[in-house]
Amino acid sequence: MFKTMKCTRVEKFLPLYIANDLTGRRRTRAVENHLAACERCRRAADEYRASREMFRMAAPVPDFDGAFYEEIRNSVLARVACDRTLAPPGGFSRLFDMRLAYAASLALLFIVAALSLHSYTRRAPEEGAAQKMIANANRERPATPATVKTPPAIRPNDDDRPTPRPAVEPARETTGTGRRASKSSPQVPRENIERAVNKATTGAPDERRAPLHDRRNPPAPIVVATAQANVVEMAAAVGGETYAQPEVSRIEIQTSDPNIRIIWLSPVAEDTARPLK
Amino acid sequence: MAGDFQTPLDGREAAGREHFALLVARARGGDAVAFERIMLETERKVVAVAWRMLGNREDARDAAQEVFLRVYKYLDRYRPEQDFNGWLYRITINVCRDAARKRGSRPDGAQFAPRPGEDERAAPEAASTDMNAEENAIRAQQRALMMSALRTLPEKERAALVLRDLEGLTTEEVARVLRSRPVTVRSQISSARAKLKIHCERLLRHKGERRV
Repeated sequence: MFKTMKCTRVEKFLPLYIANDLTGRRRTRAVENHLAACERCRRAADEYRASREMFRMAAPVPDFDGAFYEEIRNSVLARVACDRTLAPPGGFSRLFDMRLAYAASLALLFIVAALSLHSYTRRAPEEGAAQKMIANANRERPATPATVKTPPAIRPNDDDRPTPRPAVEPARETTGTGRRASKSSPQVPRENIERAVNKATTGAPDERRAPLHDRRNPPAPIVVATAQANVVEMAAAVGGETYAQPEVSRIEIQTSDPNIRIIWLSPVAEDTARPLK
Repeated sequence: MAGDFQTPLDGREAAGREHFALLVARARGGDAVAFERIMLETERKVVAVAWRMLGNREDARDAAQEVFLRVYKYLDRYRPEQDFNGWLYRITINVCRDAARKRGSRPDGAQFAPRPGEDERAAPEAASTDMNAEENAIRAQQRALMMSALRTLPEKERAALVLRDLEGLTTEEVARVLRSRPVTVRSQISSARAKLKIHCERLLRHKGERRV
C-alpha cells in the first residue's frame, strides 16, 4: 500500500521521520522504501536532519554565572520566609484539599436546604390554622358593621363619603390618651372585639347570650383578644381607626398628608398575652 | 493530575523519583534546606526552558523565581508517584505562557528580538576558548539564526519543540506536560521543524547572496 507513496505525502512525514517520531511500522517502512528510491526526498530528509542538528547545537543551555542562580534562590527563599500569602506546605492546606472543599460545600448546602424545608413544614400547619380561624370569623360576622370591619388596605381620606357608623356606639376610652382621637374616630367596643375573638378561637355558637364575664368556661387562648385591646389603645393614641381581626393586629395611622394613611398589620405575639378582665 | 507522568521506570528514573519525593516530603514539613536542594538540582533546567521560551535573561530569571514560588506553594499537590521533572516542566511552561501574556498582546515574533549582548552572555564559554575569531563569529551567527527562528514559532509549537528536541522528552511526555494529545504534539513538532528548516534555508540563502 505504502510502496507507491508519493513524494508530496512523504514530505509531510519527513519532519517526524528524521527523529523517529513517526508512528506506525508500515508507514515508516513505506517512507524508508520511498527514500531509498527517491533522490529528491532523500536530500530533503538530509536537510531536515541538518537543520535539527544545527538547532540543537546552536541552542545550548545558557551558561549563566553562579551569581545569577544565587539571586534566584535568595529571592525565592526570602519570599517564602516573609510572604504569608504563600500557603505553607502541608498542614491545613493539605487537609483543605479542593475535593474536601467541594464536599464540605455540598454538605453545607444540604444542611441549609434541610433546615429551610423543616422550618417551612413547621410553619405551614400554623398558617393553615390561622387562615381557617379568619375564615370562620368572617363567616360568623354579623351583617351590620358593628364589631368587625374590614377596610381596604389603603383608601383615600375622602370626607365626603359617608362613614359607616357602628350599630353599637363605642364606649369612650377612659385611658385618656387621645382626646381628639376618641371624639373623631369611631372605635370598636372592647366587648365586641372580645366576642369576635372568642367566637373565632373557641367556636362558641352564640356568645351574645353568654357575656365574657359571666361565662363559666372562659376561652383558653386569650392572646389575640389581649393584643386587640392593645391595638385599640394604640390606635386611640395615634388618632387612627382600628378594625378588629381575630388574630391579626391592624393599626391605621393618619399622617399629616390627608391622602396618605399608614396601615400596619402584624400577627399577634404570644408574649403580649394578658388575661381579659 | 496525580495520575500523570506515571510511566514504567528504569532503575535510575525510579531512584531519581524517590530522591525528589523524599526532598519534597521534607520541604513540606518546613525543611528550608530540602527546598533549597530542590532548587539547586533543578534551577538550570528551569532557567534553560524559560530562556528558550521567553528569549532573554531577565525574563528567564523572573520566570524561574515564579516557578519556584509556585513549586513551594503547590508542594502539597505533588504525589510521590509523579515524575517530578514532568511536574516541574509543566509549571515552567505555564509560567512562561503567563509571562508572555503579561508582556503584551503579541507573545510571538518581533518583540522577542534579542537584546544587545544577550547572545554573548548566553554562551561565555565561546569567548573564553582559544578558537579563532572566525569560528566564534560563525558559531554566534548560527546561534542567533536558530534563536531568531525559534522566536518566530507560535507559542505551542515552540514549547513542543523545546521540550522534544532540546530537553529530550518523548512525544508522549511532551503531551503530558502540555496537557495535550500525542498526535497533536506530533503535528506541532512537525510544523515547527518544517518552519525551522525553511527559516534556516532562507537566512542562509540571504547571507550567501550578501557575501557574493
